[in-house]
Parts: sequence; C-alpha cells; structure tokens
Amino acid sequence: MIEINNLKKVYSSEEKEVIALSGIDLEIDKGDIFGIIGPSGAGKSSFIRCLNLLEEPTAGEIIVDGQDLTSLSTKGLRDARKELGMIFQNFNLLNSRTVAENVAFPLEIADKDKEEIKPKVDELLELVGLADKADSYPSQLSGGQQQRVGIARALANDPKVLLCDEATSSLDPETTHSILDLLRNINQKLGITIVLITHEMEVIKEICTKVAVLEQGEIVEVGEVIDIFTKPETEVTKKFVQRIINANVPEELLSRVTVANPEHGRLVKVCFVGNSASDPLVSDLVHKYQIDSNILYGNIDKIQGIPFGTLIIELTGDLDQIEDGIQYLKDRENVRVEVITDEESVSIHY
Amino acid sequence: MKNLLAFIIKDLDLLITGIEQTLYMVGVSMIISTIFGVPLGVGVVVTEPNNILENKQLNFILSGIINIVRSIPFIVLMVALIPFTRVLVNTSIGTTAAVVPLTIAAIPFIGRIVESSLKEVDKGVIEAAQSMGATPWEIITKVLLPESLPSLVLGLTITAITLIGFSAIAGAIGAGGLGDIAVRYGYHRFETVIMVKTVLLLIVLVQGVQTFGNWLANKLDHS
Repeated sequence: MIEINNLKKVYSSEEKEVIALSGIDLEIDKGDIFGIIGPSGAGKSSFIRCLNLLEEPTAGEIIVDGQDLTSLSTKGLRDARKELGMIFQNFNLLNSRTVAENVAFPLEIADKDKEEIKPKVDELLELVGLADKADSYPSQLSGGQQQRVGIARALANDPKVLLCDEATSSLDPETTHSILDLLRNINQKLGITIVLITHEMEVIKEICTKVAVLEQGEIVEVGEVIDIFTKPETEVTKKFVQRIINANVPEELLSRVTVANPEHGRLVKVCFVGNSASDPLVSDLVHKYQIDSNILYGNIDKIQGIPFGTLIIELTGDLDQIEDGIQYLKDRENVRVEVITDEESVSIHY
Repeated sequence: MKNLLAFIIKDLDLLITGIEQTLYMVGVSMIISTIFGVPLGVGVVVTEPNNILENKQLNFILSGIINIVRSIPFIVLMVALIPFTRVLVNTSIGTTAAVVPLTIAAIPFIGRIVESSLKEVDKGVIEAAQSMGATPWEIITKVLLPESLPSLVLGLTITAITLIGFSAIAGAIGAGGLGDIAVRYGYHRFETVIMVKTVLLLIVLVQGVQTFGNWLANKLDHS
C-alpha cells in the first residue's frame, strides 16, 4: 500500500543543517494500523508530514498505491492527497464553519455537488457519532468531539489511507480510548490503512498491528506489535515497553533473602507470551525438578488479543535442580527467564 | 425647550449636508480601497517565504508599495495627487475629488490590516486544507479570509474611522463634509456653536461606526 524508500529530510538554515530523517525504508500493508513511536525530536512529525508531502522530502520515494508522490506535479499531488486523509493533534478545524460545514470542506475542494455533499456529510457524522452536533461550531465542542469532526472530515473523500499526527496526544485517557476505538472501527469497517505517530506506547498497544520505533531519524526496530512488546531489542524500545507494562520488580521483593544470597535459591522473573501462558510451567517445575516455587508477583496483559504476562517466582531447594529448572524454562518457546540477583538487575532488561 | 429645539434646528441643513458629504467620501473610498486593499494584503501574506505562494520578488514589491504610500503624510499625498485626481475625475476640488486621495491612502492601510489579520490564522488549519488537496485560491477564499473575518471587520472599522479623520483634512482643500464646515464656520468665522456641533457629530459618527464594527465582528466570531 505504502512503500517508503530511503526517505531523507534535512532542514537547512544558513548556520546549520538538522537531519530529521536519515534514510527511512518502510513498507506498510493495506489494512494495517501502523504505528510509529519515538521520543520527541525523533522525527515522527517530519515523517508523517513527508508521507503526504506537507513537507517536501530532501530525498527518497513515497509510493502510495504504486504511485510515487515525490514525482507528481503540483496538480497531481493535490489529487493524490485526496486519497490520504489526515487528522491532527490540534484538530485544525475551521472555527468559522459549523461541524457539518467542516466535514463538507474537503468535498467542496473535490468539486462535489451540493446534492452529493449533504448525504455524505450526514453519513460521516453518523459514523463518528456526532449527528446531533451538525450545526454546532467547533468551539462549542469538547476535544474528543473536535477530533471526531477531524476524523469525519479526513474520511470525506473516501481515502485509502488515514494519517494520524499525534491524534490523541492532547486528549485525556478516556477520550483517547474512545477515539482509538473509533479508529479501529473505521479500520475494520472501511478497510482503510491507518498510519499513526505517537509518543504513547498505550496507543500502540491498544490499536496498532505493526509498529516501527523511530530514534534520531532512524527506524531502530520494526515488527508486529506483540513481538516488539515481548522481545524489544533496543534501549529506546525497552523504555517505551516498560512504561506501560510493569516490568520492574516490586521494591519489597528485592529484600528477599534469595536476591543477595544465591545459596538459598533464586528469584526469577518469567515472561511468557501467547500459548505458553496457558502451559502449567510452575507445576512442571515443582514436579519435574522437585523445586519449591513461590509466586510473589504476577501480571497479565493482552496485546492484539494475545496474552502476555510476567511472573516473579522464588525458587528454593537443591541448587542444581534449580539451575536445571531455569534452563527448562529458558528452553521453552515464548518464555523469557531472568534471574534477579542484585541491584543492577532491577532495571530490568526485557 | 423651544430654545433648545431652535438651537438644534438652526444650521441643521448645513450639518446634514456635511454628514452626507462625509459619509459619501468615507463610504466610496472605503468600498474602493477594500476592493484593492484586501487583495494587496492577501498578496503580501501568501507570497511570504514558506507560505502558499512564496514569491520573494512579488512580496518585496507589494510590501514596498504599502510602505511607500504609508510613509507619505495624508495632506502631502492629497496635494501631490492633484494632477492624478484631475485626470481621473476631471476636477481637483469637491467631495468626489477627495475620494481619490482618500482611497489611495486607505489601500495600503487596509493592506497592512489584512496582512496582520491573515497572519493570525492558525498554520495548522492551512496545513489541514493543504492535506485535503486545496489549491492556493481555495485556501485564500475558503480558509484565510473566512477564518480571519472577525479580525478583518475590526480592521476595516479602524480604517473607516481613520478615513473620517482624513476626510476632515480633505475638507481643508474644499472637499466638503463635516471637517470643511468646522474649518469654514468654526475657524474662519468664529461660529463656535457650529464648531461644537460638528465635533459632537463627529464623535457620534465615530462612536457609531466603532460600535457597529464591534457588534458585527462579535457576531461573526465563532471561535
């Protein structure tokens, strides 16, 4: 659907050059909800603005549906943009127009007839749940409602792709949730491809199917959301994951005798994904290796419907048996084991 | 009571003619200068660097025109324009002749006012319109002007009031209007009563224009 080849963006002023994006390659499939996450200043905003050429890339290709946007004429680009809806962090609605007139705006731009516009606007407002607000002005709406208008407006010309520029960053958590629900519905109902940028891992976790992690203008990690959550490889990704999945060992557990004194046993953290979550791991340990295991902490979450959890278990008994038991866990697919030994391992390396 | 009525009625015809002439001069020059001033202001904004129709040369020229005309004091402009006025309206005295320098002075004034109003429009809204494939013309007519309309109305109100002031200066060279009456009767003939009456009328006129402008801007403002 979207193919990005060697996308570069450099901002140059007289004094210096700032490299915002240094050669990005990315493929986004039809129907994906593709998230791009990164700390501020990573180039997220430049990236999404380059996708519809609101910012002109310094180099590279943006191929949408087989058409390289960077090669188009001004006129061609304007037409191509009608296939790419966009919503914004600050909604960017026209204050001088009512909700219905705001949604009608892109249809006017596309030279649609009045008779065509009216039913389409009604349909879109119905879709985003704002049919009763058609004649209100944006200033009379809450942030969440304004973003719904933004979404309706972005969908007016039946685009193939919806670009979301920090669409929920200025909304409270509950409103964020409802907007994300709406985006997911739209994705499923209309089959529209969604590309979103965010600095909130919560957003990625809640609706994305794939994610790319952007740092200093480069994509450092890309893949299925579940993989990024369970097997983050870079520091920046680990930080994002930790923010929403409590991977840290609760403070009080660190005073356990096994942490400082390995001769008494081991404190281990076990992370499991998917089907392994339903395997009787702990009872296997007890039965096969005659180890005493005491569950001290547990947490389970779902990402894209796949269970994903963390257990902290204290293993005591024969030390050799414990080592074998740990190895047994390590050999399982989709299970990650870590022995908690001292202060250093507290800053968990997932 | 009777005296008061007589006081008011006295010179009434003269003052009504004065008001009519002032309104005519200000009204006509407002209309013509808006027709030219709005595109001038829009032109200055959209040709700026990083704007929708970036054009360094054109921006320099348009901005230059505004600055040059605005740096000439109105009374000087009026006199300097006499030959031009004569060519245009076949006379250099009277209310119609005064419309010419008033309009020329108001065009760059409006240009600057439009410029500052348009610059208040949120860049994000323009970006949103661009992301929908809007042409520069559509952005100007459907985004920039409607979004800044309340601010434009207030700016045009300021222009109208300034023109009322300028029209009084024009009165000094025989343009008619309230300013002319004040100078001729009040100043040259020491008829203080007429002077006071014209001043009061001017105050009411300015107040009325400002109140109307505020009301209209408020009505148009949905933000």
